[in-house]
Amino acid sequence: MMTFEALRRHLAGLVGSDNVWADDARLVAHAIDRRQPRVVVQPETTAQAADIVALAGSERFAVVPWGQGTQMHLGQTPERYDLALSLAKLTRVVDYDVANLTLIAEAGLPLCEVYRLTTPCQQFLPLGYAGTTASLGGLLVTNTSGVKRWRYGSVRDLVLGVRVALPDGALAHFGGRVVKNVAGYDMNKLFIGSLGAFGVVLETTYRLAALPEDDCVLAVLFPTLAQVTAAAAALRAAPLLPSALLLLHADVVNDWHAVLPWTVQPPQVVLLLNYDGIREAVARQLRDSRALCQTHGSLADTTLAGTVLPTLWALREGWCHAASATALPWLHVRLGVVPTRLEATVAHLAQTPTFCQQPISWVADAGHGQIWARLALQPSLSDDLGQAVQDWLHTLRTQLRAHHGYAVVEAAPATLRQQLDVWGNPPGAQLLSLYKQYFDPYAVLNPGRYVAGL
Amino acid sequence: MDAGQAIRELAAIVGPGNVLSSRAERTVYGYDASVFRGTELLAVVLPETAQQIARLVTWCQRHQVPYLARGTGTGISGAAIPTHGGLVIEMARMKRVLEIDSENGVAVVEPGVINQDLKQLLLEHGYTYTYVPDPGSQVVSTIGGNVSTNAGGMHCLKYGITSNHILGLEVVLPNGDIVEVGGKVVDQPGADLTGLLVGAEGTLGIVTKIIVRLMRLPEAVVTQLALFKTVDDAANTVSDIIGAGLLPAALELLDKAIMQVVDQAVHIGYPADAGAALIIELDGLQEDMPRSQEMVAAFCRERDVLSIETAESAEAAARLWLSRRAAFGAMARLGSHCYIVDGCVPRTRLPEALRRVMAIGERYGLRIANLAHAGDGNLHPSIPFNRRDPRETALVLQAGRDILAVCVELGGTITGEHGVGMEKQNEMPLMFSPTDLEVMRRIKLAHDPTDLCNPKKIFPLSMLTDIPS
Repeated sequence: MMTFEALRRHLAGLVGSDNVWADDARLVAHAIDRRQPRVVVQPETTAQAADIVALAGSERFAVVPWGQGTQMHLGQTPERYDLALSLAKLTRVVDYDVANLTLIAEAGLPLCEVYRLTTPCQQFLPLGYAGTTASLGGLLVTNTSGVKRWRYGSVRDLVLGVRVALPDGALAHFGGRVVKNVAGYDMNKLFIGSLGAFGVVLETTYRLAALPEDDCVLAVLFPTLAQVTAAAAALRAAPLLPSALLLLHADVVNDWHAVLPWTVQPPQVVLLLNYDGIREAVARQLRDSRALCQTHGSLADTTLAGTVLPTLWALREGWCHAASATALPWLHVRLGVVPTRLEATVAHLAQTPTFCQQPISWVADAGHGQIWARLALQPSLSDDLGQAVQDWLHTLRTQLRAHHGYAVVEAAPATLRQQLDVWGNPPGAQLLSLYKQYFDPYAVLNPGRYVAGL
Repeated sequence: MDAGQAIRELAAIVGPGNVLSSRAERTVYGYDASVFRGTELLAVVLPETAQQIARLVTWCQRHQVPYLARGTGTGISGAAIPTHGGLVIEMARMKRVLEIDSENGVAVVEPGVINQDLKQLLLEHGYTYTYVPDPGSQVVSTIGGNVSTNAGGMHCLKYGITSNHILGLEVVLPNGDIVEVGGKVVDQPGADLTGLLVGAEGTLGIVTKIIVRLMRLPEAVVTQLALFKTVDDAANTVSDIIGAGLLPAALELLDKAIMQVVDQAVHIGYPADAGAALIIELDGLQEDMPRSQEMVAAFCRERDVLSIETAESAEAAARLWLSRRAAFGAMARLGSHCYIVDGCVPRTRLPEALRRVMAIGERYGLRIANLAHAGDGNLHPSIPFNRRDPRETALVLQAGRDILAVCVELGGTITGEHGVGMEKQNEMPLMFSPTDLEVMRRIKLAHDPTDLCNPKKIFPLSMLTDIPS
């Protein structure tokens, strides 16, 4: 293994000294759970990035890839961290095929740049919204789907191809640019949600969708959780085609006062229904939804459209996919349940654990059974907090697993995260361990951050 | 071990009534719907549980016997052909629908369930949900087969391929372990293992349980048949429709050769000047239909459409679909066998692809009729031939290879929905570099280092010389 000084020289030889840093400010900016890299490197081409990954592999340096850095709070604390590999300059659009609705772009390209490119052509990539700064590669490896997934699909439905660099020097391309393609194993899927454990995604191919003619949100206030979940179930069973079906805890509603007109109290809950498409169809769905909600006891409703929607989606993204920016210690947990277990699961969250200083607040996707919960921890972190949170998580996971669900810790204070099993024990972990031996046998990619300690 | 001893041991695992070992039985399981034939088998076994399969796989591992799982043998790429003898594990006894949970939009089935049977069951029980994938063979093909090939169908344009409809799997790995991946709940932590295993063509393990997504039946469906003078006009209309932001449920194209043979078989009555037909299916809400229909009609008119017929009833819609659904059967009128090519191109390249397909046919002196899932750019040139004529068979296979090369050249793929199997394994380098293939093969090596599980498939034979036959 070469020295770090030699590594820096070598990296400078690959990408130029202007793209290699070891100053304190840069290292601190790339710290994960206060663990800093020894060097930060920013390649300008995918070939350079592949060379860096190969160098890390041959010299056994631990490398953590960074896209736009929006979701680095995910996963466990890295066991080792030598090299921060910034993909922020890999932002080229390789091919935008308007007529075939496909986009090939480098992995560091922020989604908002894709919107800027495709909106004039009346197309969009239905992950995030027009202001999403996360990179295309980051969205892929964190399996972050957009708010409109109910209608437009999730990452797995939209990714057509990837180019990945492996630590043994391989630069491989999988998939293609057509929607139907069953040539060989669907390797794209290995990298979705992989957190870079099997290779560094350097280029992505996505399918796009046509921008809808009309786009509206119906916000509906309900007096109780039971009533709103009953309404959500009825909406799922109706012939309506919502793009999103979200539930908001009362505290979230109050936080989002910039877009929602109500000040509410638990157990009140707000339902957000997004409809888009042909104007006549949107109008009919708003009408039917309003009537259906009224039969389930809704108290009030309002329609949101136009420039308020990006604000709404920014709030939603900030809640679901960003680490809290406040100084308070927060624990963010993502829960997955079958939709019919949503009510029972949220009711369970209403029992505030003793380590929390205020009730748990949450946003839920009632279409897919996802809940993003935030726990405000007691400000002074006691020694036994880790055990208390782990016990709470264990109980929660046991209950969820009984109904096919799971819980993942998505953000936590560094000292706490190091004491937690953030992933749980998801199905198929033994296969992931097996693949790791074939793709990254010396564990240089994001070591220790992934499922099963990979 | 002699064959008799082997049969006795297999019978001890699955029961004596579930082992087929006569010469005739072993011979018929060497076939599927492809043009290929297998080598002599040890036996065919019909397990009833995942545990039995785990024991069978362990037995094969111990005795180094190759094996493969088989559904109803409708595959056309030879993925279910036993190329190295051994065991065929027939999934016909595992055909239970284990659970229908419409409130959560899922069903749990065993792999031997026939596609159409699940749809029929859902209809009969009054569900307003269905399992969407609809390969042309759906009345006989299994959901396990869909998973194995990541099958497509007529409605992929809007609803996606099989992978988009599979949430989780139970799989017996080649080491005998039974593992679950994915589940009823989306976004399980970790990589998308379900997506990785769908389409593996039975080379990474044997699927024993499948969690499928159920989707609500659309409120409104409009089916139209548009006739054009030329294939170019029909194919360009498809690009116009999708380019304008419309997303029909299906856009199926037939060329004149297919229309003629279908007309002979089921008497549609196409006019003589029609050179291509487009079946257009729109679905969604009632309110979506009038304007979408009008936009489609306008695009058709811009391409000099000869006629547009809109079905006024479900029966009329079925009649419009008849020309598509009867097409492969009707091809039997032209030859004892039909070789179906399965290439895919970006949809705007479809006119060029079809022109070049016809040129290839002329070059080899072959009659080619074309069907296409045009919305997806998935073309199915169909070539009637006599399989007993080795020269003609070789010619047809070479024409197929040439067509696939064209598809790749135009930015497409060598298989849109039927898989690689043994048919296209040597065409994989058209799509993938040696590095791509080597990295892809690591998944196979991780699962099955001795290559006993559906051996020597998918990857080019030149890559597989390090594994004993």
